[in-house]
Amino acid sequence: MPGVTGGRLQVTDTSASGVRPAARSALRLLNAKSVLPVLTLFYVVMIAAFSLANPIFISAQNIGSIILNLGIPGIVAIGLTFVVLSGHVDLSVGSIFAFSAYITGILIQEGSGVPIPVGIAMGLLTGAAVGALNGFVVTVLGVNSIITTLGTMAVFRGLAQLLGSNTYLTRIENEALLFLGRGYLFDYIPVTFAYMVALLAICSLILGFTRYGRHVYATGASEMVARLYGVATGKIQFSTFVISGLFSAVGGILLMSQLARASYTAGEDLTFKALTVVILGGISLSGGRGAMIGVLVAIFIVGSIANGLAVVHVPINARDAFTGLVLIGAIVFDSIRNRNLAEA
Amino acid sequence: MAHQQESDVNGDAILEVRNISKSFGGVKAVDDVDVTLHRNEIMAIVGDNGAGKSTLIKMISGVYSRDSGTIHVNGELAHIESPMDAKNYGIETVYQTESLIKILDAPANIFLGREKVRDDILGRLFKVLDFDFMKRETEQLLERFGVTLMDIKGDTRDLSGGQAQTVAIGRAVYWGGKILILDEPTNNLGVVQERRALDLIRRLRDEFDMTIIVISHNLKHVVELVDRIVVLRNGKKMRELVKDDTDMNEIVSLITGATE
Repeated sequence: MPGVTGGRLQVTDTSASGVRPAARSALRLLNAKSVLPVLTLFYVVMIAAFSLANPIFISAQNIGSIILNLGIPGIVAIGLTFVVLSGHVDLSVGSIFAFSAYITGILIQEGSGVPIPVGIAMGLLTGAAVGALNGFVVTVLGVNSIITTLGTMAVFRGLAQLLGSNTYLTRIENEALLFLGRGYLFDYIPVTFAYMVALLAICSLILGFTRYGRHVYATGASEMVARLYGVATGKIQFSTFVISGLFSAVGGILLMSQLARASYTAGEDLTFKALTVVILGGISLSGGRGAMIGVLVAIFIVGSIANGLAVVHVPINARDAFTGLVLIGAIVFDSIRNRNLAEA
Repeated sequence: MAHQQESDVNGDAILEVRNISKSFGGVKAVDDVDVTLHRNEIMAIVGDNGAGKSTLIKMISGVYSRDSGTIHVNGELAHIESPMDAKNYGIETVYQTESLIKILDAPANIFLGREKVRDDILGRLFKVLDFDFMKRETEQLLERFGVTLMDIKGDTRDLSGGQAQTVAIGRAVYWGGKILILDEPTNNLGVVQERRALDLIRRLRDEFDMTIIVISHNLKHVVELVDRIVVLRNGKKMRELVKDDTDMNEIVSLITGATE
């Protein structure tokens, strides 16, 4: 049927050459290797809009409060980035966050006699161990990572609640511990923000310049080819879950020291928030694509949205819905990019 | 044991596959096949879909384990249980589709899994990559094949089919491959590139001292290019043909089963 083929060809031709310039440059942005320009533009427009709606948004005090709250979720998102880059998802970050902080909290509460550094080390170890459990189930037993971490998300939230309902944790009064989460550098920079930026810089270097980073990207982009050429893809994926677990524990322990008490409900919306940051930051859900710098901008965007909506008096439930829309938007954007790249 | 006695009488067999078999769920994909590859020749393995070509080369390249049979390389029994094992014996395979990681550039692909790290403390401690070295080596390598990439740091996704193939083949040559298995090397190429691919394969034999197995559907290319042809059907080796003593009709009738 030459007529049909001809007709279909014609349609394809129109869509390829006949698109308006605006649509074409939008397409080019979608195809661009980095989402950074789009993200930055989005952020600038967002800031402008919030500031116009309520000038309080750009007051020094409000900016300080935004920055104060970027560090901890940011650290969790950085850890999660490794998992997504290697081609998987970790939904358990919020539960690891609460569970490992609770372990530290129990160990170091007054009268326990456990030195604070030991308690913190145990909390970090707990996070890494849960990450290792995720990694084992996914890479050795071959279970889908969404299902695996959905399971561990429930298990470790449950365990944290179980611990919480049986133990009363006293307030932890220790100057050094409080500084760990509450301190400021040079009077203006919250320490949690500084940790986040430092970790992000280090991870950025690891991903961009080391053999390990190269193998993370290769594994996520094409596990089969990477394995054919000798990349230990299983070990790489396992390690990313450990990193994710460890970073979640870091975040949880920092929040604990900020609040001076462990809470088993901590980080309940964190998985959602961190995943939004990672996907929005241009880390493709299909693995192997994206860079930490995009995650940094996304940390700012997601951290500012919640604050900005509050400043312009949007009710709290509607704020969650809005962040949900951002996540969906980021995923749609990601899958359009993937399709375009696949066709290219 | 008869096979062993006839193996490598001339001393120029680089790869000897003996009595190799593989079943998938009771179906014999490859059934007791023998193949001998002589140094510096180009051999084709042809057959219809499902004839066992792909399974056969995947056993040789260590991707599939074999149910039975042996592989000798240079007269020595080769223990090939993984793709890396095969590479260590100098057997490199370039697959039709899964040959490159498209989001990585050409140097990254050529050094994939064997990245060069810096010689300084950064390299020793943190395995920081030596980007300059890998880029230079890649440029020199591709130059030997007469290929210059517009942007050597660009994703290999943006390369033409012929360029991508040259990068994949270049990787095999760079890492000291002596036996090259090419899976459908002229698929997905334009007419001009097809011609260049055939020239490249000949050059690999003549100038780079490679021994080559080609899997192809394109019998025109096969007849033009190769020295010997192994015909598979239903997992069995039907016949081994010397190029000068056969023609396309005979090959086709063996593939389809018109001739037993």
